[in-house]
Order: sequence, then structure tokens, then C-alpha cells
Amino acid sequence: MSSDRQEFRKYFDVLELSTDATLREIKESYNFLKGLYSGESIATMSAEGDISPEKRAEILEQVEEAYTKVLVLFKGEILEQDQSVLDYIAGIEQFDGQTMQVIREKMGVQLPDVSKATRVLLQHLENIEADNYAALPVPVYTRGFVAAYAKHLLLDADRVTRDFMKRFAVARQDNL
Amino acid sequence: MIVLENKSCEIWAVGGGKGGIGKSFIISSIGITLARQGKKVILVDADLGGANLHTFLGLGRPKVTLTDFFDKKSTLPELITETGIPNLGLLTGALNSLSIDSIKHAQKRKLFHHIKDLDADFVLIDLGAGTHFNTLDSFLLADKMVAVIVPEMISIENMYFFLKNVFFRKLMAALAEEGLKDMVTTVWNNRHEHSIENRSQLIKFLQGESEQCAAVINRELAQFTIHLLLNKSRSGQDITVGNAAKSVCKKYFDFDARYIGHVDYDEMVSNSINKRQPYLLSYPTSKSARDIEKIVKVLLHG
Repeated sequence: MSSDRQEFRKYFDVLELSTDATLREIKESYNFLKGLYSGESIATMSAEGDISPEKRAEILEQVEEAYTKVLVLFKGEILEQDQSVLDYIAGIEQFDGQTMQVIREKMGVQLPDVSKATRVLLQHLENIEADNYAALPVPVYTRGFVAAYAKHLLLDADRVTRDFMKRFAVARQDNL
Repeated sequence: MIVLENKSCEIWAVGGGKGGIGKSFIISSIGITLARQGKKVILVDADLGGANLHTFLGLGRPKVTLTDFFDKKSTLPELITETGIPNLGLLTGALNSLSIDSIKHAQKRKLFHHIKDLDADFVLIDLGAGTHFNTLDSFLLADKMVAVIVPEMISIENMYFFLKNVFFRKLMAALAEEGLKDMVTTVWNNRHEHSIENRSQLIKFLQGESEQCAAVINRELAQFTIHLLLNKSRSGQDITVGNAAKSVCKKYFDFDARYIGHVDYDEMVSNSINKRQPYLLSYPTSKSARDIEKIVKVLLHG
């Protein structure tokens, strides 16, 4: 693991962590940096003249990339901790809101904490879990929310959003 | 810039650019904490305009000051005032007769040499507010540079400005040493052609201009470590400002900043000053006193 981690050093640097950071620290730092550079803080506003909006967007992209890369290191570790989560995920053919809820509960994660960490409204997360497609916003937002939630559960965000958005599209079609 | 060798004591300088953010409180408290751990400490009040570190130690204005070092050729050890706290001495700036600008480079160099030679484990320098070159040079002299902020926008803005000035001064000295001064001057004089509007852009441009320049800049950036301390925090929200400012220092300015901790606001601080009692002696078990202890630990070992 340690030699693996050295290769990821630049990503740990972006997340402002040492290479021995724990998963919890990584998540915390990611959420903190994302909030800092996408929102307004007195620390960033005080340096507004020094930075262009483009540079800020670039920082956010780097943070996002670093988080995604670093999480790979933990895939095995997290799943080893809880074989039942691993088994459950392995058996999933199609992800939907309900499967995400089951995974979340197996991991012992509270939905309000997901909301806090991902900055997605609790109401949207509840609608995702309930597969309440009619109550969710337009696809571009919903896709982002599902991806953020999936990432938070350390799932393959691409696969989860693909599955979820397929159902979402079908459900919306039927309603027309 | 002045480079010194033969270190004998460790020098920590506390600056921050803005007045009223508690630099003197922080440095006197760090000094007392170290002294109580048995370390020999000398506080240097380099706030040449408005020295008042003695007030934080419950002392009157010292009879001897650094003026005597320049005027009367006194030695530094002769000018150290006892503070009544074992292991803790005070060297005060308070230059009455001498205007700050009249200290010549050679004199300053001599002063810095003598500070390094003081018989102490730690010398803590309290810098005044502002970005006068004397302040910047004293900051650069230190083994550890501590920048104090409070959770207010102006303080953070001033801290960035202060650090950019300090780094720029350090960098220009380093580039001059490598014989690159003319190149910098030429680029700056033709800055409009290169669309350079500020120092950060100048540095960026120089990095791309020559490999030698880039090497010096990268070396100086790598050696520029800042310890950020957040004073007067009143909430958890305030405390995160320290981490946010650290992140901005890294991501916007490439400075190696470290957040060494926060000290909670305590109204008893000003009470203690008015009673001429060092806060740390009156309230040694307070939350803020424990905050200071943690910070000292980080500075010693971190």
C-alpha cells in the first residue's frame, strides 16, 4: 500500500493531506476544499484580486480528480471491512435508489450526513432512494446528485448514474 | 536580505500585517509558556514605532531600549530587561530618538548578528504592523515565521499582502545573488509588453523566461514556510477559517503554509492587561492558555 501511495502523492498534495491520510480525512478534506472553492469564504474573498474565475474552476477540477483517484486506493480496504456490503454490491445487476439505500444502511451511514457532505438537499436524496423520479429535478441536476451520492458511498459513480438515469428517463417518458 | 550562519538560538518571528490582531498577546504567551518549560527565552519587541510588549508582561516602559544599541554602543545583553518571570527576558524596540528609516543596512546586519548570538534557547520577535522593509527583513531572519490572523476579512487580506511582500523581498534578494537582477529589472520595465500587472504575474513570467530563474523561484518557494495562527476565534466556523486561509496560501500563491492552531477569544485578556498581570499567569488553566500550549507543542515538534 505505501509504495502505491507514493504514486498518488500529487493527488494527496492537491487534497492537502499527507500520504498516510485515512479515508475519513480524505473525505473531510475533499468536502472542505470543494466547499471552499465553490462557495464564498472570507479566506477566498480576501484574495479575489489574485485569482481568476478560470483558475478557481481549475482548482475545483483538480480537487475532484484527486479525490476520484485517491479513492481507488481504498476500494479494497473498505470492502474488506464489510463483507456483506461487498457481497451485496457484487450481486447488483442494476443500481437504483433502493439499492443505494440498502448499501448506505449496510455501511451505517446516515442520510443527513450524506446531505451535509455532498451538499445535496436531503429531500433530493430521499427522492433518489425512493426512486421517486417525478419529484426529482431536471436530468442534468439529478445526474449530478446521484453521482455525488454514489461517490460518497464509494461506488462506481459512472455505473450508478448510468443505471439510475436509464430508469429516470423511462419513468419520465411514461408520465408524458 | 541578510543571511546569517552559526545559529545558536532558534528565532521565531510573529507578524501578520495588521494591528490589533493580538500579535503581542500571542508572542508574550508563547514566551511565558516556553519559559515555564525551562527554556531560556528572550522576547524582542521589534515594533519600532509602537512597542508595547512590556505591557503584556505587566511591566512599565523599559529604561533601556534598542536605541542604546545604536546610539550608545551598548551590547544586547546589557539591554535585556528582567520580566520577573524566570527564564524570560525582554529586549524592547521603542526607538524614540531614532527614526526607523535611519537604521542603516550595516547596523541592521550587526543587530541581527547580535540577536543570533544571544545566550538563549529561543528568541521571539514581535514585528509591528505594516510591511516596512525592516519588518519584512526581521520576518525573514527567523527560523520559524508565524503569521497571525483573526477571522475577519481585513486581517486575512493584510496577511496575504504581507506574505506576498515578504516573499517578493526574499525572492528578489535571491535572484540578485544569482546575478539575475538586471533581467528582473528589464522585464519589469517592459511589463506592459508582457501584460504583467502585478508581482505574482511577474514571478509567473520569470518562471517561464529562463530555466535558471525558474530554479531560483522554485527553490525559494520550497523554502518559504509559513505558520498560520488564528487568534480570537469564537466558534467552530471561525476555526475553519484557519484551514481555509492555509489552503488559499497554497493554491493561490504556492506558499507552503501550515495551520498551527487557533486561540479562542477571551475577554479576560484585556482585563489582564489593564491589571498589569500577564494573562497566562492569571489564567493558566483557561481554554486560551491550553490553546497556546498546543500551539507551542506544534511549533516545537511539528
